[in-house]
Amino acid sequence: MEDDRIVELYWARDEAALKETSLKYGSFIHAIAQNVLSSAQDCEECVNDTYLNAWNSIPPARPSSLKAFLAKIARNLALDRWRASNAKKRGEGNIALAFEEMQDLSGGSSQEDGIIEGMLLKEVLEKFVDGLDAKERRIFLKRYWYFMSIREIAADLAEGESKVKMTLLRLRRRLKEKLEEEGVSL
Amino acid sequence: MNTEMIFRSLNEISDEYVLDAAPGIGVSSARSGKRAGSKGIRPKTAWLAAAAAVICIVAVGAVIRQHNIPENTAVVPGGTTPVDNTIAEDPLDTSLPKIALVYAPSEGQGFGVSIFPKGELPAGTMLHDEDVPEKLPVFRNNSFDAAGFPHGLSEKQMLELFKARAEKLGFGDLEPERIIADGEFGKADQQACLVELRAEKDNVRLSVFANGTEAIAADSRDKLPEDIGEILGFAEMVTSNHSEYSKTEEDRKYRHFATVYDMLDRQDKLSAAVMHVFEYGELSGQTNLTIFNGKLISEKIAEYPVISLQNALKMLDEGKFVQGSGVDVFPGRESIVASDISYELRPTLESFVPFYHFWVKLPAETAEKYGAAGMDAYGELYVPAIDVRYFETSPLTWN
Repeated sequence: MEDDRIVELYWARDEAALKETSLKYGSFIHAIAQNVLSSAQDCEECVNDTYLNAWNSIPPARPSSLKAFLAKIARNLALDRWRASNAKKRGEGNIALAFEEMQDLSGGSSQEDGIIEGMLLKEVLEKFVDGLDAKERRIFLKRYWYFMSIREIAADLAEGESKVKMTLLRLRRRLKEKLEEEGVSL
Repeated sequence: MNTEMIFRSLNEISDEYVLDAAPGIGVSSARSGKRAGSKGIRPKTAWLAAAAAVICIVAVGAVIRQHNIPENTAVVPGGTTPVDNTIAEDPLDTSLPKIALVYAPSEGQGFGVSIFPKGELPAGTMLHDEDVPEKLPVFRNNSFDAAGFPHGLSEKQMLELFKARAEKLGFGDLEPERIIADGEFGKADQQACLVELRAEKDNVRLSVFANGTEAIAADSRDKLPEDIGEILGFAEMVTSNHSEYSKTEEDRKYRHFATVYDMLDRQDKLSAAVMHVFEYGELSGQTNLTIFNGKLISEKIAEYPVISLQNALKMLDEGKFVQGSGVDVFPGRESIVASDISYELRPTLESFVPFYHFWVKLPAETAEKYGAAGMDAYGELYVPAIDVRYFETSPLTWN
């Protein structure tokens, strides 16, 4: 079913919207959750929470891209769930490695560093992603937005793993320079 | 700021980028448009971005010199004798180690056809049974370490390579920038190592990587590819029009560029070069040249028996081949216009293995489809020259 039609179902408060969402994007949402969460149960709950969140958000939202809308919800929920489960122990899987790779870019300060810094960070990240060429952007986002493994990215893009690693290394360096240049405290 | 803040903030990026990078979306120049209002890559600097990526371009160096045949004469291997489609299997030599080879097609090399002016196919030679050696070596590629950093050459060797190229490019005594991988990989035990020497002068950038790869990027408007070829002393330069397209179902947009083949002496085993001159798209106006010196960073594993030409042809008949360019179906033996045995040389391959390499002429409408009516279109097919049973994973699954 076309996305527009599914969104109409949400607006009509027709529960078929959930079924159609699940049919069309269930595996996509599941993949996002799975890259962040190691527990199958957490993953399943995250997927269901995504549907519920979408149900509660549409209306009033009328997303121009239902797929991206669902992806962002799923990613945020997965990060929330990951943080809760990670409070006690070190994380596992792709996200733990992605965190480790990004450690050089960040300091140890808490999330309470301030709204202004958060806004600046969003702006800098947006500019950084904007400035990447198409392939670099895909590699960067596959790793740090979707938390895919190096192997998955390489297979997805038909590239060698080494090339993906090298690209990520260079992109992290460039991001670090960009953050320093824009005065984002590391 | 902490790492989670970075990841949280990334959630706000454009939907277009989120969708474009979604799992399962392959490399596709057609869907790479920037969102409205975003700053595009400036033409003068676009090639700098491309230069970093050019390292993985496939380069193929031929090792078998064939009999010359009259230009553009289609000799059918096997002649008019009845075709026996039985592939004879020789007993395996169990003393030989299994060959590790994980294949990931490189961008632009998996999909596309080469289009030449009529009668100007560069490798216009045909392999015959007597050209095929009984054995050929397989090499272990030592050009990447476990962490994925290019390595293999000592700093001294890198400097020697750099100076030789820099001198030809007129860089004078320009000191190269040293690019160090210093543990930013997230691995605490990663030791700092030199991965690249880099210098730039007059819009020409030269990089020498620790894995024996040299990359030269230039703005075609300042320096013609032919000039670069001449400066570097390439013996032979043949230009084709190479078309590339996205394989996704929803779009099939094309990017045209010229490719120059056979620039290095083909007798210089395990060395090869590929030059791309981008004619439109984001990289328009760039010349990217990659030279891969595979010999410097590889070691011979062993000599392996080579399958016969006739068996290779039978494998083609059965569709057991690796496609090098947009040819999903073998068009038949009569379509073969040139053949040789080549090593696939790519820094990211685990092993360098010889392949039978067949150029096949594609139907006339193919050239038209690629916007080159009146020219000849060719595709390339590869059959492993080593019995596939010697591989850990059969290369034939690469298709």
